[in-house]
Amino acid sequence: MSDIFLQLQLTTGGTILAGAPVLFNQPLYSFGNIDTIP
Amino acid sequence: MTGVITLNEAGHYVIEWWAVTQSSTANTATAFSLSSSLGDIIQGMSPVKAGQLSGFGIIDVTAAPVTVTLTNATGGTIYFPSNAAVQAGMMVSGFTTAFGGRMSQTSTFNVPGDVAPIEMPLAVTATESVNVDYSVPNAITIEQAGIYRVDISFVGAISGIGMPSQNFAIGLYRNGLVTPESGLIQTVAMVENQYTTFAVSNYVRFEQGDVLRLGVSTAPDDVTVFFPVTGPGVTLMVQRVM
Repeated sequence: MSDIFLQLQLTTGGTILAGAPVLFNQPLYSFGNIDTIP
Repeated sequence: MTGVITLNEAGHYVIEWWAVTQSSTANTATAFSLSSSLGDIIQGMSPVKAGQLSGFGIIDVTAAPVTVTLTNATGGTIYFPSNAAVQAGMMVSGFTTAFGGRMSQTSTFNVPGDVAPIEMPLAVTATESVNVDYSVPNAITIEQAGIYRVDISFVGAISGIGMPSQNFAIGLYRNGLVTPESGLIQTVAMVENQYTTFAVSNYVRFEQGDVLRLGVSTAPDDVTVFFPVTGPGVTLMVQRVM
């Protein structure tokens, strides 16, 4: 068994349009084969 | 910045999130949804426009990669509060595994003396296996990069040698029978017609697409190896641990 972890935060505030994704800007922790597009 | 998270390996993923909102332009409940390229839409809602809402979801990935976003599912623009330094958070916990093995089926095997290692026939695959490939004969192909525990075992007897004993070696080879993996080769002076056991283990980092084989060699004479009457004489097992 192998584990993968990712923790992200949003600190840029502002607005988010309907249907748009939350643009997490702060990666706090990442372990394993998982990607975020910065 | 796209907000896209890519799950690169098959497995089970638990995703938890929270967000604070100040207002929205919609007349509906405030909502976010976990949306995946598999078609998952897992919503978390709040009946009011200002406050904190949270949600979670489980994404089951059988064929990677899969992408995930946390999306505004409110039907209008959401305003984040200006007095909250952090407006949203997300945590992904993924659980994946890979293991498998091969075993010999032959009762005898001829190994030429004083030549480069030859491939050990491993015709039988492990009863259960996950995320390894057996399309290359006698080999295990790694599908997920990571650190694996490797176990090799051998029980057999040799005959045909001119001296009372002769060195016989078995080792793990990656992508061709050129160089054995460090710590995964064992050489024993085998006494003719006496069953001998080899056991060697190690933890090794493998990359996706690595092809693993067992190579055997002996010197100076050609030998015939006799394996157990029933059960496998040689096994190669791999199990991802990290």
